[in-house]
Amino acid sequence: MTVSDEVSLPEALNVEKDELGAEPRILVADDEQNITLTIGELLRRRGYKVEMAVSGQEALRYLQETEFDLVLTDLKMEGVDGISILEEVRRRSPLTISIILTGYASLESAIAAIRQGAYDYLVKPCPVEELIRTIQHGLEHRQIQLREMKTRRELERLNAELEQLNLKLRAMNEELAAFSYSVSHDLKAPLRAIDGFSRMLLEDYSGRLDAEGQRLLKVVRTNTQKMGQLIDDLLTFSRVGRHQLMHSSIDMTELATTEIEELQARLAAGALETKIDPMPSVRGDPAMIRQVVANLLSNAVKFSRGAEQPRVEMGGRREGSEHVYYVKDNGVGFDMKYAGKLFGVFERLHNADEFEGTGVGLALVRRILHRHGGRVWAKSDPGKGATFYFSLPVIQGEQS
Amino acid sequence: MTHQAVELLLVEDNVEDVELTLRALKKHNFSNRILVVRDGAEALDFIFGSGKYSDRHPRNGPKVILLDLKLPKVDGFEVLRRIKSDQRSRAIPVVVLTSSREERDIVESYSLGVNSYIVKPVDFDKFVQSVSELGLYWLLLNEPPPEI
Repeated sequence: MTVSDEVSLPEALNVEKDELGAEPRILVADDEQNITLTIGELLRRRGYKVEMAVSGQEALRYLQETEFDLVLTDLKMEGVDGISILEEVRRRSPLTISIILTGYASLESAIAAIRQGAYDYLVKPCPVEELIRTIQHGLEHRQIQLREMKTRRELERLNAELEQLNLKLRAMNEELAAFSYSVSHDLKAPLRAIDGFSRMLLEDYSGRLDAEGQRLLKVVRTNTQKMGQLIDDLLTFSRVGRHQLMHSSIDMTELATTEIEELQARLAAGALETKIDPMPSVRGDPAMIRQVVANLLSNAVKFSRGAEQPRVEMGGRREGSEHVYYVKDNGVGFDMKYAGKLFGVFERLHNADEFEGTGVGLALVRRILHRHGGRVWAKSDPGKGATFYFSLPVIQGEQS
Repeated sequence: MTHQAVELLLVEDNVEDVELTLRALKKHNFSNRILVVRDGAEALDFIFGSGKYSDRHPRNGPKVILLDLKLPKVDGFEVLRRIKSDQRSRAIPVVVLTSSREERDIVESYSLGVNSYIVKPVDFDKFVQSVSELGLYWLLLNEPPPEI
């Protein structure tokens, strides 16, 4: 037996102890008492917390009491043998390192033990350096496994947290959908009654209402209708957030031409000059992109109607990985210092009696574009018209 | 008016909406032979000749049913489902007349076999126009199935 405490070991072999605990716990089990004691004492002096068992039964008792970092066990013992110890270790704490002590004669059974999950084996008698090195490798292996387990547990915890958040988010989304659903059903009925009954009053009692009385009722009706429009716009806005995007190829030139013709049909002939330049097609949700184009064009028409010769233009081109489109008018424009407010819900840069509107249109435009991975921005000077730009990503494999 | 002679069945729980709808119909002289019921259960009783309408034969269906979706007791979808899944009533045209523009209400109504879906406008003038157009179409223009 060459195990001895006289051999000094290089510093590098000292065990890192932090995650293993301050003193790694080792169980030494061998029914040859002198081997157990020698190894045990040697390890104790190196700073390990060691328990020594001189029989398989004693080793089992220790295993029931404590979780060891490493178990060093003889294979051939009377009564409870090393294989039973290995099984017990694997059952109780699968990350505990088992190292087999064996004689040359039973090398094969040592290899069989490794197949059953033992980390390594030592052939008795073994040099003390080899003993220490094997134990240290074993402990390093355990250290790595403990860290992996810690990471895994942390990941599992984060996953569970994410799952919870997801559930919460889904519940909130459902609540929101239910909310706008009931708004859609219940909020407009009283408005319809206010408008309808005001109208009935105007029809049936106009003889008894003087001009001022009739004007007052008209104000009631105008505002009722405005609120109805507001509710509709808000519902559209909230639907855009929930609506599942259906992607297909969109001919932007055709879309813009149709939309501008529709707007022009509502105006006197020649009242609006328009120019639609050929634009690249794009992939997106056709109904939603139509809303973007319709909103920007009708805004341009609305805000340019005071110009001497109102003019609205639209065009676009590919710029790198984006398609960039613009809608330009020669209308009232806006002060760039309020540009940040343009796309907020209910934000308006003009008085309602100057230009009608609920302040939802551009917020809707921005929301739709964000959902498509695109952007919207604007440039203007007061009195010099405004240009709205929007971009949509070029999708791989898209035909332009 | 006997129950046999009903041409238009209005299923609507909101009294103001009933008044507005009747007024709109009256403006265009569609006010004859209209029956108003205030919940889905009564609508089904009328259509299938049960309950207080047990004297009525389901064969004599109205020319058109105007149906709200949100109704007490039995909701509009259920009324629609029962009408369209019964041999005796499936041919009666049903027009959903509702506040809702929600896609799922529209999809659900059509999948249950609704003949028309109309969103009630807040603006009374537009409302009158919608109601008169649907009255004109379903009561005058549309040729009802012969067994009704």
